[in-house]
Amino acid sequence: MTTDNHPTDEELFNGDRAALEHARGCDDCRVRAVRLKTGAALVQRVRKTSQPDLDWARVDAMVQAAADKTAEDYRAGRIRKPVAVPRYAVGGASLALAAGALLAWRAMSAQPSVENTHTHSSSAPPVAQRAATQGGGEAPLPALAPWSEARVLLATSDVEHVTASGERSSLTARSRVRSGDRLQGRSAQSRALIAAARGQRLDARGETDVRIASMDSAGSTAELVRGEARIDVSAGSAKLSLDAHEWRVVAKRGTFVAKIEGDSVRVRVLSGLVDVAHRGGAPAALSVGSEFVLDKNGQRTEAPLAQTPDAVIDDRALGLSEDGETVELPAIPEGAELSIDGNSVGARARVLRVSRPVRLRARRGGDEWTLELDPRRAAQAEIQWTQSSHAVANAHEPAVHESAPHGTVTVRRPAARPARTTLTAATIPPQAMMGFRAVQRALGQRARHCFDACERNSSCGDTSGIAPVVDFDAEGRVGAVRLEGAPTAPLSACIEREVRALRLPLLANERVNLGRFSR
Amino acid sequence: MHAPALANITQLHSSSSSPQATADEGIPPYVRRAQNGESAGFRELYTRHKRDVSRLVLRMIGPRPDLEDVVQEVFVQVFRSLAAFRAESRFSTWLHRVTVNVSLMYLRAQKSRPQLGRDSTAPEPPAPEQSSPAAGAATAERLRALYAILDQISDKKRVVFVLHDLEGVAAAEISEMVGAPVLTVRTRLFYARREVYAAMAKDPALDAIARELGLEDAR
Repeated sequence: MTTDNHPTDEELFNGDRAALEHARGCDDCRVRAVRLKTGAALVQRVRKTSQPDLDWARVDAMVQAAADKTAEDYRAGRIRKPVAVPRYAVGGASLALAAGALLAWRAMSAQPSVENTHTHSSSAPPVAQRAATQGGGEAPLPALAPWSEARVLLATSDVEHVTASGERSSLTARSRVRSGDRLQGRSAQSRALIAAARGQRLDARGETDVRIASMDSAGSTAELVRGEARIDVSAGSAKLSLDAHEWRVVAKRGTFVAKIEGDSVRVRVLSGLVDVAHRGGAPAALSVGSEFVLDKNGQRTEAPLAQTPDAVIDDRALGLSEDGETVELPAIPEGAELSIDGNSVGARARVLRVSRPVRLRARRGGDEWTLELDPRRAAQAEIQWTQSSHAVANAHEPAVHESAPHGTVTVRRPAARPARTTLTAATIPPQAMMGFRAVQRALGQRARHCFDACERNSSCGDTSGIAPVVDFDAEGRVGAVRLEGAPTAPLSACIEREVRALRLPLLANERVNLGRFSR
Repeated sequence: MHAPALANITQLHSSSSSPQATADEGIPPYVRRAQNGESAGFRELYTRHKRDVSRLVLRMIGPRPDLEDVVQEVFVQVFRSLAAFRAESRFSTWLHRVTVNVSLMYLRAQKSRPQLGRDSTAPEPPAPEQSSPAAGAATAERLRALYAILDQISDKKRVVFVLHDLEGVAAAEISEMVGAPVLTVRTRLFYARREVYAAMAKDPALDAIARELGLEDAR
């Protein structure tokens, strides 16, 4: 009992005999007692509940499809076990990071402020910020350990990542490139640009085979086995060495391009301080603007410049940075050439790590698509190409800008994608049919409450039914949604919200007409 | 959000002080097979735990139309995070932690969404003594009243209340799940109960349920 002799809520909830006795003569306490007794009864009911009544066939199909997909990711090395770190090391590393962050913050605060909203000015250690996304969004990209893994700044779709243990997979935003791994370009258009450590860039071009021998902020080493690579070391960063045919070319600061030509290596110095040494011998400095052929016998021959400027634009001009956010680009319109601010990035770019908002353009003939990449929203954004001009009639749909469910997602519609077949109930692959039917049933129930709600609010208009056409992404989540049947805005919002809650991994990357749902 | 996010699972995990902290042998065989990329391992994990997970999701979020989706999302997240599981706590504890986190993420997303007639599509909830569709619907309505009360308390308190008072998990295990000392768990439970009981005492929606259940005699 309380000091004024009324029983507490807990006493009433627990059915304390004295409390209930008191409640008989106290109106207020009696009301409380009934409510709390009811609450206690409800709690008991929940406790007794053994199982929810779910459509297990649907859930089983969905989860088992996800299981197969995830197992494949594990086998392909796209998901790996984290390296076990002793607890004392975790503690020490935390202290070191904290101290580093404090020092960096002090250094930053001593500098004059720079009015540039497009660049990240984080004082945090260079850990990838894209660790997890919201529920219902794309599966989270793995967080990178500070410089034990390279940052992929740009990768085309045809670069193979071979781990030290020999596992092969395409280089993607999810790839973890570590010491001992190799990057292999499979075509003349291949390109893989990585940061081995802060300010140390390795740009593998064409049909190149390059092995990352070591990655360290005190100095990294790569081995060029085949093809061409450009090395770039920023001022203030540690050296980056490239081994080829028993030669070691070291960029202490600046840029050089090395190319394997049979038994020799051609090295062109574009800027900075570059040394070269044969079999661990005494290093010799190469002057800026020079080009040398280094043969297997240890001979160094100056050669006329094959071409004066470097053919590939400096990636910094493209807004690519190890401090940015890695973005996996949606399917590029086939055959289109990509550019950022007028600078070409080829036709096969698949991964970009951008530190400032950039606009990509894809051009193919008279058609042009644009894609806005904003690193500040990249972790949550679902991005798609928007057709901004076209030569053929395919733009009867106006471009729509809208917010997606969590308020932070920017979706642009319609996505100007390469020609895509819309699957219907008649053309759904047999293995996906059960999931498709389950999704239809679930959406049917959800659509019903949207119709009920709009009828209550008299906001259904003349809509008699709706036919959603959905683009599923690579994870089977709903990307773009088009609602046919001219729904009113409130009805459209309700249906779209419910459609976005659906998931169908077996129809990943497909456009699907989910059928018509009548009022 | 006050409870640990999914991204922090590994970190929280490593900070827990389980006696078998170093042991890989604590990893169930099917989990180990799944970590090695065997589909059968994932399937067995799902088959073994789907009932527990769905029950916990139900208790966390209440009878809602998205129950199936949340259960599905839990397993997707479990599969993808499985590489980080190193048997520093029991697998069931780790699994419950992921389930709680996914459920909380769902609840938070729901709070930011307009509630447009949501209740009208809520599935029939589980009811132990359910004998007819009408009885099921009535039970759903009653349970919804309880979860409306739970919606009023903070995530931290809700988690502790649901795990302890509804799911029957011991405070020590809850402490591992939420990454907080046992004493903190008990404190949260104390305040959670106080807030829940106070909300019940003020909730007129319970009067009608009391009449239906014949609890007015309790006076």
